[in-house]
Amino acid sequence: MRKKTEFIPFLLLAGLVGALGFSAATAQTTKTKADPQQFARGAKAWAKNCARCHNMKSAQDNSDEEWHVDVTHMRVRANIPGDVARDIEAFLKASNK
Amino acid sequence: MRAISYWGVAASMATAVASASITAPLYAQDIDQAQLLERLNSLESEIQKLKQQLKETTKQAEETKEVAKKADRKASKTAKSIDIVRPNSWHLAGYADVGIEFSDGENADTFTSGKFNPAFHFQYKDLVLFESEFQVETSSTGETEVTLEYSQLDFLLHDNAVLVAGKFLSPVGQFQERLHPSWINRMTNAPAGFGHGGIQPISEVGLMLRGGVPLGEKLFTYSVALGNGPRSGHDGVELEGFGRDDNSNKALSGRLAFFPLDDLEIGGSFLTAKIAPEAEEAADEHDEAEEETDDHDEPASELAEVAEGDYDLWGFDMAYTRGNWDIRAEYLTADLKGLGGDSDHDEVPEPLSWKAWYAQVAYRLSGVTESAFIHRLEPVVRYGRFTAEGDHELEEELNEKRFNVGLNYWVSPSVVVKSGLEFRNYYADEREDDTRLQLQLSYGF
Repeated sequence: MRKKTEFIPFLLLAGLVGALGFSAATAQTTKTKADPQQFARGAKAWAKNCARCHNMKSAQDNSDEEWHVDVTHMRVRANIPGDVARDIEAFLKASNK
Repeated sequence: MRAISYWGVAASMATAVASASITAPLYAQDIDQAQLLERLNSLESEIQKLKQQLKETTKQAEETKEVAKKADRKASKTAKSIDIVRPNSWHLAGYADVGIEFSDGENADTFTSGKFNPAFHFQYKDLVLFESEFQVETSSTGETEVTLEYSQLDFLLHDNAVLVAGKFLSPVGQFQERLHPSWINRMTNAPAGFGHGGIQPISEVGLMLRGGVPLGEKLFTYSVALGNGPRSGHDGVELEGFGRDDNSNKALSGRLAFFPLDDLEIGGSFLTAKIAPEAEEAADEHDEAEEETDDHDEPASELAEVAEGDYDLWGFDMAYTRGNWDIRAEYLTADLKGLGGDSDHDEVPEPLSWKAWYAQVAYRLSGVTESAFIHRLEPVVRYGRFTAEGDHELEEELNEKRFNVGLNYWVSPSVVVKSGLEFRNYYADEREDDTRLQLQLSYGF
């Protein structure tokens, strides 16, 4: 019985973080307007972050939708800040036509 | 009389001239009119032709305009369809590899079936990402083995925080989480002590909070996980993610990293957990049935007899990736301190410890010469050690030095042909040293 009560704080913490997260994520859904320098920032961040682990694939390897998901996957795996990930995504979407 | 005759001659001459001058213009007028009429007819004909041509040109222009409109509509439709990112979007990625290995040691020369690792990523808006990867491979006995590498929900809480829930790759160190896919790994296998059977945790089941935080111009990253943790077993300390915990203690693990330079990453990792005795695990029959039985390469140990142990692991890693250089090093050390043993007889087992490290340098030859072939080559060397202390049998099985030298040919950024020589030097006198020639083809998609 004691063991179970010990685990309750972890559950509460997880629930709190989850609730905060959903509210924060909902607020994030409003897309910011792309500023003129986003492309340049994205190109630089793409070269800097991706090459830390692997060779850089061509931007034309993926569609816009695929890059959207792939960049999120890499954001999580490589601990890339969200704003940097959005710059990279904007650069890849503009470069894959 | 003479005067009159002069006037008469003059009058006659004037009359003659006048009559001549009247008759000549009348004749010329007749000719001009005919020419004019002819020209007029010709002009009218040309005008008709031009009108016809204009009509045809206008018709063609209309048709062209219509075609252009259709093309424009089609192009914009195509562009729109490309640009659409649906609220529920997905992406398929992964990798596959095949290989061959020649050995002068106890292992036979063999083709290796390699692995097929499809990875699925599903994202709902900017809220949540579900990602999962399977590993499908053929075992040495011919059976198809399917392993769930990870299956996790990533909640995008904030630009600097992501909450991960489920089964995920362990954040400890850099090799397992980032470098182990064969199209990323510069060598054909993992360094000694890393990967399956090593001391680097493979995966974890639980929760993890992670992200990157800018500190001025620099970046700081963190990953902190709370999970079911490792278990003791017949294979030693098993650091795979278990679907159920065998004790109520949760393992805390993580990695903190800092980038003093854009191209230099320095990280520190830790894991702390309590290891429950295997006897409790055996009571859970349905879990036991799911245990892997193919342990031919794994060391046997007496760890199952450890009653309750404190397992602590820490380490650090670095990566320098600038231009053609890819330099990495990683160090991990772990201790298991037995608390019980046989408490009835006051037996306290010897503490066990493990250490594993490697350093690796790769250099891509692009730009070195003008040869298109040469610039796809990448020489690589790696040296590492894996040692255990506290249990003689464990030491005999695990302790080794491993030196690798290889040459990779990059067909494309994610397709690579790897060749390498591996020199394994075992500490145990009775174990014969081993030299292996390895070839591998890997494709990341």
